[in-house]
Amino acid sequence: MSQNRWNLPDLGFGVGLRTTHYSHILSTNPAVDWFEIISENYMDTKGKPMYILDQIAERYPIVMHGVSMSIGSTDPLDIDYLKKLKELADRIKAVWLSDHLCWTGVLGTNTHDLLPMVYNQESLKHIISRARQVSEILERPLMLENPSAYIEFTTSDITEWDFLAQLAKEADCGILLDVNNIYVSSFNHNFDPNIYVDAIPSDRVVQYHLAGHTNNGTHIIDTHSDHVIDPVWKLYERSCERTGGRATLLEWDDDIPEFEVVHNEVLKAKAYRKQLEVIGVGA
Amino acid sequence: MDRQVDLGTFQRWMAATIMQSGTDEEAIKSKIAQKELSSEEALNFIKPSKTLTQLERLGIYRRMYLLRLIDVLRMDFTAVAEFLGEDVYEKLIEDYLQVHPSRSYNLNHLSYQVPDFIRTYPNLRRREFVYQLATLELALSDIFNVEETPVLTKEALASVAPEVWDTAKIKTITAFRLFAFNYNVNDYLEAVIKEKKTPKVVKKDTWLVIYRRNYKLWRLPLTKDAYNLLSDIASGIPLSDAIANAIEKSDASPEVLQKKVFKWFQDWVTEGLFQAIVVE
Repeated sequence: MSQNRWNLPDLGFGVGLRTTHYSHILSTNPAVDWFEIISENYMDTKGKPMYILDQIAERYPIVMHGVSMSIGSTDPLDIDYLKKLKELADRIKAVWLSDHLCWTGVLGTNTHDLLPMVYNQESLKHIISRARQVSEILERPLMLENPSAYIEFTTSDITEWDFLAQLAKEADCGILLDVNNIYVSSFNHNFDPNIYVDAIPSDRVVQYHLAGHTNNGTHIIDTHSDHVIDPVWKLYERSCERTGGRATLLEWDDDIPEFEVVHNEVLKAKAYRKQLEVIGVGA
Repeated sequence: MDRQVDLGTFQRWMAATIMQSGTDEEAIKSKIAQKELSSEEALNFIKPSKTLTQLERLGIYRRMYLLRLIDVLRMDFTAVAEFLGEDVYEKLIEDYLQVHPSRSYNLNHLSYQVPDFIRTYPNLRRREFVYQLATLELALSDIFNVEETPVLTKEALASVAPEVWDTAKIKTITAFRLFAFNYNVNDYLEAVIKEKKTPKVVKKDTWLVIYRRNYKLWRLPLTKDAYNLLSDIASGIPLSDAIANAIEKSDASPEVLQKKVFKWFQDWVTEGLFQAIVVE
């Protein structure tokens, strides 16, 4: 099996932890390999969310996935936020933590959306510098996820995949590769998603995200509201052929079905990984 | 592009257009957006796709911003949204976000100013009722997130020496809020939570303590006398003085009220409203 840059473990097949599944998880201890939390949902709260998370963290490996680091913003880094993020990671012994290659706001505001970057040298330099600072503050490597995007800018002169690859190398970041996001952006921006997958340096990939989306005909929105479609599974398989497989997580955030439906969806990924083992990829 | 747009300008422009109310076209022509990029520059800055224009692509982000935050606040203000109806509620929140955009990584903070905003929002039917309902719903969200504190046990209570009761104060748990409303907001909220037909809005004196026990939220209606007593206790007045005040304010005879006080106090201890007896 090929390794990632930090020899972080392949955690297997995980599910995004959502409130609607709390009681099922606590009462049945489902045989899921690991959970990923949305970091901010457990920050600044001392109530039920932390009470539940502490119990789940005793039973399962936990990975933290944030949505408000705003690594690409021109606002100063929010040091208070980063300190709280680190406190949470230490408390629950997070295996690693990630956020998105995006910005969420500027001038002190937060849109709570993953806004797209202009992909050029200025942005690259800016994010490399900030990602290094973040890793230092968090005292652990930072994983960045490729976002879904619905808009492109004429001043972008680097492809997203080259930007992400250069960023990972220069800032010594890991990559959380969301193959659904690659598919969504490839549809919206009309590029070949295989080129994206093939351009990502395997040793930087630490984790995969899988999810469903909503195809509106003219564009696709990354809604995390459905099963993973076949073309996305194909991208996952293609990337796994390069990496040998990594910790894989299914996100389901809208119209969330019963836990078993979500869990069974991510377990489909096992079949792709088993095929790779049969043919000896990554061995 | 006629000129290079630096990262800061780009981000200020995009955030301004996303957070600006009105149509997509109005947003890119707004003063705040054009301070960064003229509407012509902005359109040159965005690539069209095979199926969408520049403005349509920007519009996706604008709609997602608003819908996401409307949905988030609906979770905190379910009963307010029910009372106002979808169109009025959405317009209220859209206007609210113009004045109070999110300034935190944590969405919990977004709802803090909603009741005060409602209080001055023009042309809102039954404004005072909506304000009180929003105040109640916000308090429930608030105590959901505060720390769990130890609860005063009956054993601890029994161990207090009789001679210290004259000066003893009682500390409430952190997840505790006390309210006096003059509309039937608790009845309305109860109906919404239980998905029953909502009552007609009427003026009704309502005294209420809300609290969290074992991570569950509770609303306990009080009489006026019980509210007065609990209010004094919560504000740090020694128990004996609080009881004396309650007797003085009450229309009931001292004997009747004393019996009631004993029962209330037992109930409040059982419900876990207190965390400690403080003897100075």
